[in-house]
Amino acid sequence: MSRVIVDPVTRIEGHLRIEAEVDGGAVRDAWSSSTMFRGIELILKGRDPRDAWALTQRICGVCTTVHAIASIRAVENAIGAAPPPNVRLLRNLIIAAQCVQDHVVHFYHLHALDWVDIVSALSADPAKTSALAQSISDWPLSSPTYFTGVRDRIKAFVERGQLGPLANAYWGHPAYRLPAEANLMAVAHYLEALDWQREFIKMHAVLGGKNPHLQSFLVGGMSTPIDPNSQSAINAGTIAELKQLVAKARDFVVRVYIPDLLAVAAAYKDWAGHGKGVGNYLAYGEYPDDDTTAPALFLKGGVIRGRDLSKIAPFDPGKVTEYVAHSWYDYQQGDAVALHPSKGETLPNYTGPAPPYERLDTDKKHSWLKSPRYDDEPMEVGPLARMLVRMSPAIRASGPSWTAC
Amino acid sequence: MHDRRAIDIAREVCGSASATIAIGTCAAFGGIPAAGPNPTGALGVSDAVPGVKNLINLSACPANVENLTALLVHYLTFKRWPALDQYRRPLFAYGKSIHDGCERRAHYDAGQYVEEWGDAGHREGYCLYKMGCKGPVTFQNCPHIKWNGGTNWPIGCGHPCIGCSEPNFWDTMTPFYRHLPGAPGFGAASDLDKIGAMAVAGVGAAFAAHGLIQIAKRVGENRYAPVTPPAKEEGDR
Repeated sequence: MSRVIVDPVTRIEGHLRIEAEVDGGAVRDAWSSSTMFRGIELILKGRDPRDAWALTQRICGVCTTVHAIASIRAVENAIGAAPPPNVRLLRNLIIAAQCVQDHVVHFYHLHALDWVDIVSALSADPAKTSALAQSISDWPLSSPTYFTGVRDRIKAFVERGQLGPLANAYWGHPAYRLPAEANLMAVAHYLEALDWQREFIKMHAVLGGKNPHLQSFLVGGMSTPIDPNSQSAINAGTIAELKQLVAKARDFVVRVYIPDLLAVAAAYKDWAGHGKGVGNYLAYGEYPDDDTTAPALFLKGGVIRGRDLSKIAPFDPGKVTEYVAHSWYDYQQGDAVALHPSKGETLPNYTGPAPPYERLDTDKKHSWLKSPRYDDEPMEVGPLARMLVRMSPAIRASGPSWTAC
Repeated sequence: MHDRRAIDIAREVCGSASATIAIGTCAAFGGIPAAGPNPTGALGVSDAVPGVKNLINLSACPANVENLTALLVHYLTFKRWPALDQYRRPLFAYGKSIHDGCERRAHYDAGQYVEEWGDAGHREGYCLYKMGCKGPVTFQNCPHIKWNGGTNWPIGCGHPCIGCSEPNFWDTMTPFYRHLPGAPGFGAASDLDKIGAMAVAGVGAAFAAHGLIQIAKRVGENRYAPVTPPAKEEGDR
């Protein structure tokens, strides 16, 4: 039995440490630790609630907007504010743009290099790469000349020894399964996606002034005026600009991202059996479809337990609680209680080893993250949970026709 | 890296570097974690790395990537670092206030203000001063280079500037939706809410050149513990 420590976990925003016990090549147990505390909850105390979204948004610059929206909704819920219909539409557009951009960035720039071997791409035959690319998509950037250019660009990069963010990877590791041509195609699309994400997120600049950290949110509304007869508001010209951004972005998603996803997944199908979670899935739901205080949602929320997709329970925010038994915080009533976030306490009390340290005592408190529970059970949230809830027969029967996020 | 503290790495790397670029308001001035009550005792690089040489602060939240590119191009072109302001920010990017370059400045000078979200003035792009805009006391080139490849900027979305490039802005610029105290040019106790558009229109241009710079300097002096001043205004090679 040996312990593997990964700290920091890269290609995420934030500060995560994993300690894993490995036995015979298999992970027997593992612990995660958030190694950073800023105390945004404490910083928010006593401030004007109309300002809260701006501070909260700074929790993360990659998933920017989501914490701002959550904060705005919390304040609106507290004061019983119902934003007008145009606000709902603007926010839905902003959230949806974030969702799509983040998926592509996550796939290519944060994750792909676990499956794509850049060094292997150097030995690819551009003509065969072209044939491969044209067999899975009609995306126009697929000629042998194009892939020769990409290969030469990477080659010059590698020969100069300036790999930058691509240094220190596992190039040449036998776990990589893609043929050289698929690697070259994926590297080309990795580079194209860098341009793509920069262009598409102009959606957020149009609707929020800038990205990261949009600045058009207001409690009860949005600051972006809408007036078809004003030069200083969202007008037909703005809508045309948004339509163009969406059309170009969609083209890349449909003709490059999805085909690549399927091609890579096909080579690593058995990996789906690794690292399965707790088997409980929770989605809050998103994209309000009307302007009531409890709106119908385009993506439904719900709870799946024990991998049983046939049964789905409605999501009840009252059942969310947080423990600090393994976290560097105290609760006034002690570690045994779980508190609903509305009654939450943030009393930091670091009891871990003094840095620098080799190991955390994982039997004791070992993280700056609290442990959230739903109905006292751990849940997996995020895109997979959202997808599974959406795919469950109960939700499919009730919802509108729907194919992709 | 798990056996070394981040601050020790920063002191070793930045302490030995010929120059350090602090990117974003957190690196430059402490930013959000240093906001009151600063639960973790967070510091900007100038305070966290004693003796740091040729520190250049590219503040804002986030820092504008255009300014980082310009800074590097400046160095590669002239083989020296650019002239800096009192907070060690390049004058080429932080030399003028948001207010001075604002596309809505003419409305300020004409006394045309947004009075309420979504009113006719808001839809017409009037000045956001009364809604809390911190443009007069915030120095950065947002109005000129904007964000995301020149696409837009916060004031272009009808939202006031929150002052994100200034030291300690989370404490000195909040509440964000309360307008700056007083109206420069009308005496210290002036209340802009009571000043009619007609009165403002005549004198707006006259005070704009002087009064707001004064207010900016005053606010700046009050809210920032100065870093050790550099030996030279321009950095060494």
